[in-house]
Amino acid sequence: MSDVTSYALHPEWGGYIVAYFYLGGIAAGAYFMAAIIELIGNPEDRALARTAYYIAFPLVVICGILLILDLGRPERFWHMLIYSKAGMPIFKYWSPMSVGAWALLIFGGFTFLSFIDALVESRQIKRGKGGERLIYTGFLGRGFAFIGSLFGFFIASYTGALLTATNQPIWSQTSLLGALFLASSASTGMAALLLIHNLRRHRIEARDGSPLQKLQHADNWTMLLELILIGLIIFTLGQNVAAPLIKGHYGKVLWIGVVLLGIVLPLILHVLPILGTRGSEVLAALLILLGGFLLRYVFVMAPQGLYFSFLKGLTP
Amino acid sequence: MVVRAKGFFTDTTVCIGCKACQVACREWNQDKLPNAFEHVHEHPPHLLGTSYDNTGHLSSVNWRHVKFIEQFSEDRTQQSRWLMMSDCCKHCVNAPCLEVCPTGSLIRTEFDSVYVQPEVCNGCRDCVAACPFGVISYGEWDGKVHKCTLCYDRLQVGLQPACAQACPTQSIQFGDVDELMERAKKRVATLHERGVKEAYIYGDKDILYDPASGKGGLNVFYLLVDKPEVYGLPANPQIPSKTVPKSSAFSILTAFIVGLIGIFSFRDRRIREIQKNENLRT
Ligand code: SF4
Ligand code: SF4
Repeated sequence: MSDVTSYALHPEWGGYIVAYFYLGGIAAGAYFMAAIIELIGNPEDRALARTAYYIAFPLVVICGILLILDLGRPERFWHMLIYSKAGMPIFKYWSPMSVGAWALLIFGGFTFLSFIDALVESRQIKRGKGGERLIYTGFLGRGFAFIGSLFGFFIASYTGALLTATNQPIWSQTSLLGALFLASSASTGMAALLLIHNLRRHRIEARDGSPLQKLQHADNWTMLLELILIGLIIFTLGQNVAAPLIKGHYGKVLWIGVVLLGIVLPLILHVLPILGTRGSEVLAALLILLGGFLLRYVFVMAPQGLYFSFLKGLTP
Repeated sequence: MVVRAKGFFTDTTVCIGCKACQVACREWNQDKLPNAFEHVHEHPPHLLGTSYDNTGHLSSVNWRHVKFIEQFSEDRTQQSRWLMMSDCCKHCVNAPCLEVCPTGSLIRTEFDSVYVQPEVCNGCRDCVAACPFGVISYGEWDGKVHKCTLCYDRLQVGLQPACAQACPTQSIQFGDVDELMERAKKRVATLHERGVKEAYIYGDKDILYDPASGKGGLNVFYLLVDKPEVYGLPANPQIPSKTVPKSSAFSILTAFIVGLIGIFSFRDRRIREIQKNENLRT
């Protein structure tokens, strides 16, 4: 693992991929939290789950568009699923990209149905008396939530496994990227829900034991997990291999953007709401969302030496 | 059906750096490449200008590249030598590029070579990330990846690859891989006898070896006289799919922890509420 030299060319996975990893992570994170709420939460927690359904599906659609735009031949996006020469589905279980393409399609189906369910329940779509649920009823509903959450977990983490299944420096030298992206997805997914509910006029009160407080509680622990994983990755890579991540331009983004602003500060704001409950929560959520984006930026771009031009000012 | 694996044995000790192979390759494959002269003013070719090497590396338009490795000490007396190596796709037995390709564009041919089907590739570039040798490259001009085909079109009509045919010193030898390997080992033995103790083969079974199948190696292999890194070759490339079980295990573990965090956050309070309700009732 101490081999620093790599002769591989870089795939030049840039902005579209960073954005996909990030938005896909939020969708997946929010969606599997919704499934947990669906399975064990109180009726009053359900407003959170509904919000998760409202954001997950549109985000997955955007993800699909981002992935298509990143292709050299966008019109051939369907080649990911169908072997064009035989007109038969293609699925390579040993290739994370192949599995991921299928998983995203299926996850899209799940989020779509949940989206419709949320619309029906909140009476945006009239059906019967309204207010009833389309999918999440009874045993089958619970099964749906459970399986959906597994796809959510998968989408949140396979992107890391995909980066590792290469011969690129850093990516291929750690097995923890999937784990890290999963933790970050969970955390940013929860932050998105926290943000939306805090910005709503009739927000759910963040009193003790309220849904928002539970979510905040879960997010705090997830951020701690994320912090541990970042530490573990850097530690196991060793200083030399991890140098591009922890020094120079990306180092600044990692330590200041991801760790300080994206994890430590939100944790402080959650524990000590210095700006008032609502103000602190909104700021914390925004910072978590920023940190999650910068995390993808650092881990996707640093090993390839790519920059976002608007961040280039940070280059030493 | 693979009849018999075909490949190259590249004996770098006899390469004179004439680049006949590189020219032959470019010439034979010009129908698959953009016209080099058409946009020469907007896109001048990337030439190093600091070495006879000039093209520097393999690329989407240079499927062969003769590497010039200049080993000169400061005063040019301690050490002064040129190592030359004509490089191309290794047509790996366990090819990382082929393994990850989600579209099935990369296939193994009847000659056991690795071939990009241009009509299938959608330019996702996963193969670029996977190839440990920096061979397969993305072509900006057509949004697809390109690399040496082992002259698939020539092999199909019974010709040998253009580079091997052009090589005046037999540095590039084309043939059946098992036979070539025997020849290579003999050559290494001869060199050892003559005092070139550093000579060895890069690309025998040990490279990209998969213990599960007992297979490994490169169908295009090299005789080298210095460390692989000196030639820009990785000492220990990895088979991408081998990383997946470990990544998955850590991801599942983390998913489990996050799941537990979610469950504890949303459940302990529920229990408390139930207790509270019960207390109220009694
Ligand atoms: S050298 Fe690279 S491009 Fe050629 S077969 Fe091996 S992995 Fe694929
Ligand atoms: S760029 Fe083309 S050949 Fe390479 S992995 Fe993607 S589809 Fe396959």
